[in-house]
Amino acid sequence: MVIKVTLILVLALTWVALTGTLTLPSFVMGLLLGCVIVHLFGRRATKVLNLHVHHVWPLIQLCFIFAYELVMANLSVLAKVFSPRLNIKPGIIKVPIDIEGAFWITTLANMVTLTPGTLTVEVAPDNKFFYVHCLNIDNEAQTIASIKDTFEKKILEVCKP
Amino acid sequence: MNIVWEIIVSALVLFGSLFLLGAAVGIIRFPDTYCRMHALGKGSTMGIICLMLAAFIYFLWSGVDVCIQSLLALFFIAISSPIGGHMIAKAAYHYGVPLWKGSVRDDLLEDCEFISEDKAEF
Repeated sequence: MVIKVTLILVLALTWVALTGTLTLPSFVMGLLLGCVIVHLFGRRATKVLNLHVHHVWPLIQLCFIFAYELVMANLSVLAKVFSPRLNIKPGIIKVPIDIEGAFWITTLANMVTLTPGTLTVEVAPDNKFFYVHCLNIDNEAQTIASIKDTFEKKILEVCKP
Repeated sequence: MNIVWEIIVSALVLFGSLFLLGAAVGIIRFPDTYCRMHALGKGSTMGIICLMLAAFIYFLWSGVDVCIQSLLALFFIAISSPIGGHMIAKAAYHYGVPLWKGSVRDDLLEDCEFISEDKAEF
């Protein structure tokens, strides 16, 4: 219940910020929209958001790791794009994953997509494997290890109850 | 707004444009759909994040609403852009777009029974 009220308030504030007008009518409009959205999707959201205090620090760490990897990914792609000879060796590899839950699998897939030289193409129907397209698969073991050690470990820390 | 912030804003705009240029050049230079999505997904996300951060800092002294809007735009684009890249690559694979002939391996080809059912519909 508390989570639902918080969600409605956050959605209302987001609406106010998006419209850019801090007036009572726009806030009430945001509250109404928030009620509708939480009524439609609330059960799923409360299932995902069981955050406690000891989850906050891993979450912050995850954000910083993610930002660092994002910058590195962009620099490496820029270097590949502007290099005179295109030395890429693309291919699709299979990466086993351990985390469960649709929300966290989506998070991991997004992070894999935004990190150097990897792009999630497909998730196996039993949610046990990612099929990842790599720009360079010289060292497949290192790619898999970097996905599993940096992101998956942190996400496991965040999502464990 | 003093000179330090102006330099930071200019650097952010410059790097954002550079990343977007990289994404555009990557689309032309890379050989197949999947490699192009690498350049597009990462480059455009980072470019827009840099530009939005620049807008955030630039408008910090004049109006709070524009700041918050640019932060929200940054947040939503950072969430949704990789999903777009992933879905385009997935749709291309399901549609049967071949990998570049220089590709080394394709693990998905070996266990693609769950995809072949989809393919029949096209």
